Formats: sequence, structure tokens, C-alpha cells
Amino acid sequence: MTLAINHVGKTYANTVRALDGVSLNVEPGEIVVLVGGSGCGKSTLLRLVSGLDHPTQGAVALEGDTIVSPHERIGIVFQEPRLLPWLTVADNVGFGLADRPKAERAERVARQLDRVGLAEKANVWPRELSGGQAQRVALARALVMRPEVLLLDEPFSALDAFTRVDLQDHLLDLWADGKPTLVVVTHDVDEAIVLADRVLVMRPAPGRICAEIDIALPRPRDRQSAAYDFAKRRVMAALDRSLERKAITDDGETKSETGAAMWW
Amino acid sequence: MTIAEPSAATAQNAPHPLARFGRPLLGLVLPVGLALAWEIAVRMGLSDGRLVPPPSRVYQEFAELAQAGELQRHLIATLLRVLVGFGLGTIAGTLLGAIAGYSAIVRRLIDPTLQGLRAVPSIAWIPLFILWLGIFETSKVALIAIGVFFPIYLGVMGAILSVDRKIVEVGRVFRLSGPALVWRILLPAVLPEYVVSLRSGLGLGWMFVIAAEFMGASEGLGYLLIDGQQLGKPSEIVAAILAFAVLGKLTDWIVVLVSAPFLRWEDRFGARA
Repeated sequence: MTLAINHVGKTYANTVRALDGVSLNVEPGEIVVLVGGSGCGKSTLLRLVSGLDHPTQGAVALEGDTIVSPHERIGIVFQEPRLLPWLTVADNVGFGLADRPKAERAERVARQLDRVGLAEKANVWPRELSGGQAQRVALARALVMRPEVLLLDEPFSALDAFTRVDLQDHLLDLWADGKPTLVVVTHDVDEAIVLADRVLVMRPAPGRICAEIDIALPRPRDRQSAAYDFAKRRVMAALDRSLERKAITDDGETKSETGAAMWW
Repeated sequence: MTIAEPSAATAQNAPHPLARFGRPLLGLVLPVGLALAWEIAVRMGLSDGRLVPPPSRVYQEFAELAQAGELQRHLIATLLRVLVGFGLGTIAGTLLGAIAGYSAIVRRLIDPTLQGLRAVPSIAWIPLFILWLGIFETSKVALIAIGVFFPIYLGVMGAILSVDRKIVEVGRVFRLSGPALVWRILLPAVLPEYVVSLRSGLGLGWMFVIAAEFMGASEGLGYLLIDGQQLGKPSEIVAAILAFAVLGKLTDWIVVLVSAPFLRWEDRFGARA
């Protein structure tokens, strides 16, 4: 199931060009991470792939099937858990399985909850969960549908540093189950290096992809290793270039107005 | 450890047995105190209690009405009118409110008209309803249904319009159809506000039943009020008013009680122990 993004552009009604001419092919089972400063259109791109929004130019296709509305084989996890507060944790996870037989639904929900380590929380209300637990339930709700493509829009950015690292490892563990294609948006460079097969750096006004960095490190990745550090420096450098105010094509001479630490 | 902690906490938080009964009783202090004071004042001859009858005389009135079977007849007549009118108004208000909340086209089509009609004081419909529907039950029930309809229509529509877009998007991601989106996302999301509009609709239903019964009825609590006025029997009027208070409170309590199991998920200020 190749995900093909062909010359996609998005211009909003207020004439803001959020994306322009973005092309990208994602192979089955690949983990692609989009990074970039705010306003570079990375979340917009993810929403176009999910079918929640429509591109004004170009098209997104999953194995030749053009995406015009949310697709059954594409799941998404948002920055917030977005659990339905009137359903128990188990009913939230089974929300998309309403048309399946009751026994199958219960079995799949129980197994998925067990996989995210929340089997004992099946019958509690979402209000009783911590932020990290709620996001794991959101992950379970998407994964229980067995998506072939899972989109994650800054999924762990609202969590504390420890929980975030924990959930990154957890996500890779869950990914290993069915090896879905993952497209992750983040502004956390460490998160990008830990997860990605390929990091795509985006630049704003209009949003487009300006650098592509393959991360060929074996998993699980050692966050302290020299190779990890090297990859991180490459991504940081690309991000820094992406934020140069002057377009490189202008007159060849470019001045960086922003420091490496200010890319976000 | 995980078991010991909550049990210790509940033991600490468990209300004193006296407090458990004392808290609801606190609400009775004011009305019972006032009634007792008035009874004593009349007994002591401070007032003859002719225009404001003391509790004992009101109780006597209740007993006489109940003995003759009159009380039950009037209560049931009024209760039936309210229930039928409330039922019809609720169904219409919920359906139209949900559709107008969900569909912008329908909203633009019907909402201005309905808002215009809402601006008409509902009592103003009485003459027309009598001409159209006669002076018997139909026109009375119609008036009550109208009174109940508007707060429920407005409550449901307004609540649906303010449902968090992010939650609605979850429904879209799972590819829900329009009716499924309304049934599985929008209606559960607005349930707390819906209960509030049901309660205010019910309150208006009780208000309108009197107006309906004032316009000519041979039975019902509203008839009892008019009858008491014409015969110069304040105790009958007070008895009817008390019956209204009890019935109104009772039906409101039933709405709250029935809806409570559906609202256990709420994470709200008022739910704290």
C-alpha cells in the first residue's frame, strides 16, 4: 500500500498558501517523520492525507485510490487524545468497530488495550486517565482498526519528557505488530530521530519539503550513541537552513537570521 | 497497597450518618418554620387567617378534597395534560433542534421562522387555538406543547452548534454517516445541556397548563384555583398551589433521576461529594 502524495497544494479561503507542490511517496511499513517550524504546513499535509481536508491542487492516493474523505485503511491520532467522555475506555477503543459482531469487537478491544498496557482501565471513564494513558487509548482506538497507514499529528507533544520517551518506544513496539506505514508530524528533533526511517524537513510560506534525511540506524536506537548525535546534527542543520529568511534562489548570498536553537 | 489506599480515603470521606440525613432536611427548615410560625400566630389570635389560611386549614381542605375524590380527579387531569403536552413538545423540539443543529441549510430555512414564532407570547395563541381546536383537551395540550417546544428546540440546537469540532472530527475519521454522527457523537455530547432544557421545558409546561386551564376547564388544578377564587375559599387556592409545587418538584426530580445514569461520565464542578 504505497501512499503517494502528488504535487499537493493547499490554499485557504483567506488566500494563505499553506502548501505548494508537495510530492512524496511513502512505502508500506515505512516511518516518515515531518519536522519544521510552525506554519510550515506539516499538520495541513497530514490532514490532507487523512481526508479531513481537501487539497486545492494535486492529489493524495493510497495504492491508486484517491483520498477524498477519511479512508478506512488510514487511521489518525491527534495531538489531543480526543476520547469521547461519555464512553468507557473500552467503548472508546471499540468506537470504530460498531458494525462488527459483539464478540469480535470485545476480543479485539481487549487485545489492543492489553497491547497498550491499559487492560485494567477498560471500564473507567476517560476523565480518570492521565494524559499519557489517554493518548495510549487514542493510539489503541486507531490501531484496533488495523490501519495500513497511521498518521500521528504531534501525538506526544502535550506530555512530559519521561512519558514522551516512554510512548515513543511504545509506539515502535506497537508498530512492529502489523508494520503499518507511519507518517508522524513533530517539532521534537529527538522524536524524529528515534522514530524515523526518513526525516522530511519542511519550510514555510508556502509550505514545502526542503530536505530529506535518511536515518539508517538500527532499532532500537541508542539515544546516547555518536551515530544518533550525528543524525540529530544533520536534521538540526537542515531545520536551520529551512528557516533562513532569504530565499536561497534570490541572489546566491544568504544570511541566516535565526540561530540553530530558534528553529521552532 | 492500591486497595488499602482508596478504602482508607473513603473511610475518611464517608459522611457522618447524621449529616447524610441532615443535608436534605436543611431545605425543609425554612418552609416548615414559616408554616409553623403562621399556625401559631393564628392559634394565638394574632390573625384570623381568613385570607391567608393556616396550615391546619389547608390540610383540612386537602383531606376534604381527597375524601370526595376531587383531589385525585383534578391532579390526574392536570398531570395528564402536562405529560402529553410535554411529550409532544419534547419530541418535536428534539427532532427539529437536532436537524437544525446538524444541517446549516435546514437551520437557515426554519430557524428564522421559529425564532419569530418564539417571540410571540404563547398565551397569545389561546384564542386561535380555541377557534381551531375547540375548548377541550386538544387546545390545552397544544398550548402546553408549544410552551415546552421552544426551550427544548433552542437548547438542543444551541448545544449541537457548540459541540467541540475536534470531537466531531473523530466521528468523521471513523466515517460515520449523518444520522450516525448525530446519534453517536452529537446527541451524547449535548446530553447534559439537553437535560437542562428538558427541565426548563417541563417548568414551562407546568406554567402553561394553568393558562390552559384558566381558559375554561371543568377539572384540573387550574380549575380549582378559579373555583377557589370565585367561591372565596383561599384554602382551596393554597391547596391547589401546594399541589402544583409538589407535582412540579416531583416531575423535575424524576427527570433528574432518570437522566443521572446517563451522565455519570461528566467531570464537573457540581459532581463533587
